[in-house]
Amino acid sequence: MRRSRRKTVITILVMAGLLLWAVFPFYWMLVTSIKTNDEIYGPVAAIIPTTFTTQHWRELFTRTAFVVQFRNSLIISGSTTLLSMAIGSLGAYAVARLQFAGRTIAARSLIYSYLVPPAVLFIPLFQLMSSLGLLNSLQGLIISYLTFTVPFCTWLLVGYFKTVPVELEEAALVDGCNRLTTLVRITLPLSAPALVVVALFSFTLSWNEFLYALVFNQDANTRPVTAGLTAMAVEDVFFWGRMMAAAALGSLPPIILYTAAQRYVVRGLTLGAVKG
Amino acid sequence: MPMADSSSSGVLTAVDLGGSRRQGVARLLGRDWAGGFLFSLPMLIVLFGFVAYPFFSAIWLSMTNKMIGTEGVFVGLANYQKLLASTDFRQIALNSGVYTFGSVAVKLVVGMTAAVVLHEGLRPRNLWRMLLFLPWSIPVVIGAYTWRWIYDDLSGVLSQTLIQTGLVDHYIYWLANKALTMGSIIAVVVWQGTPFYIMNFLAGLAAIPQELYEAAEVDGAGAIRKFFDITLPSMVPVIIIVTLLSTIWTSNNMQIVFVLTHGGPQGVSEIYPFTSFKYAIELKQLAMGAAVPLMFFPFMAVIIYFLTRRMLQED
Repeated sequence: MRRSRRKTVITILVMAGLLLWAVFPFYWMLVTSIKTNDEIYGPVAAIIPTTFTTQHWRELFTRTAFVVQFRNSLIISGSTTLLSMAIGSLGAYAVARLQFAGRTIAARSLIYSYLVPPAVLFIPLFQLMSSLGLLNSLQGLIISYLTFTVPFCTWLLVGYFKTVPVELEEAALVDGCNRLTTLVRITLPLSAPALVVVALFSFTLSWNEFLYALVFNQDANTRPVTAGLTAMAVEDVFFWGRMMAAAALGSLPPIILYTAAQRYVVRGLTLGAVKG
Repeated sequence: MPMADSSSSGVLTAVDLGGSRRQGVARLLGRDWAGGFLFSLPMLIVLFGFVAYPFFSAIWLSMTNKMIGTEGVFVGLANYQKLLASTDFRQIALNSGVYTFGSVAVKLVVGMTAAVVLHEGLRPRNLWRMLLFLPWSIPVVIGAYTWRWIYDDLSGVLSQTLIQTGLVDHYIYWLANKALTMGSIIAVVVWQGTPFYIMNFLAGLAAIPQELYEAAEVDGAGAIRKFFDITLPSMVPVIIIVTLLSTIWTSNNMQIVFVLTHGGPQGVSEIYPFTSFKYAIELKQLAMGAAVPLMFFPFMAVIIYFLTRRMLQED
């Protein structure tokens, strides 16, 4: 009895510490964005703010490129998601169901591509985008983001498509469907949970990307939110109120998506390699 | 949607070439070769055009002296030799090792602790899980800027709170004090990356059959023995995959260093992906920038090899 109570106390203490550590930066982000500069740069860091201003939020919307960049992020992430779902569904269907020479190579190159780090790819991709005339464009980033979303989406869908009963597809083929209509009418509707995972991760991985955006798009008006943040510090002088307002708003879309689709998250985390 | 207008019969079967020839083609290229190639074409364009081709062109680039705005000529392994000979490089390799393995080790311990504690109960479990997951869900660069503000020398909440509570009597330079820099950086990497471990470990814990624990209890095993005899051994496959993936991602990610210290002070936090960025973009030496991560690629390739084998096992 005594032992289990001690265990409960330890459990609660550890949990409280972890939660504080995980959540406090978010709280601090929000609180900083509504404090006056006098309080922000004053000698006392008030955990509960003593002043209130909308100045930083107003400046964020009127004096920075944030609104444009937020829109850029939405366009880039949305387009990348739709494209990688289309490319991924077709590719996954081919790998999971069709027999053709090179199928195994295609499957393997998916994993290899997924694991090739952006640190190796960003320089040659920069050159490639430069020669395609796609630097400082949203299209260039969309194409670059496909390099990590397509392997991810396709691999995850291959695994899921294999669990769809092949008999249903054969029946559809006998009824006069071709491979494409079978995929669209039979396989995809039955794979809805996997499509949710794929869409969730494509969108958030694209939303969160930083390196390619920083390197390929130097022009502030073509940058997404992540790379745009760097402009809020000029020569080591930070506008922290404005910066934290941008941070809070830039975090919102992925937080909403991950929270809404929480039960789908685990499946996507390791490409389905860890079975729950 | 490149597939939208493909004709139906063309997708289903090979173009009509006459019975025997069609069979020959099918034997050579596979029963569904036409559909297979058409369906996987967009995917192959991405994989080969935008991953494989850039990868190999990076290798070529690293053996030239290309800079932004100049044509490069072939110089063999000169860039690699230059890197190996520099004293900075030893420092960077050491930094990268400390940064990567330090981060991964702490994430592993904190992640396992959090998962076990969460698994124990304490309602509402989903709420706690959601809150603990927050740091992973937001852009890394946003988390990094938030921490840079928390770590701020004079106005940062960490220093000021420690002074106000009387725990210390002077400002602490979390990022500028060379003795603290790497630790402060690793703390942010751990903050950002641990949720990934927690979620996967929770899934692993949920898959352990309850009977194992009941049997151990009959034998009189305590909580600690149960953890080392049952929990840990059952979790080995999950731990391996999570650790390997995380090692690749952590070691190649320069965002947190870029935001917090830019490699400083005096290079104590310079890790190799940042060095590559510095050479290629800030110094415009594309070839040197390409050579840096490739120096470390053999190490990466070993991990990728093992991961790929594990991930393909299920096929």
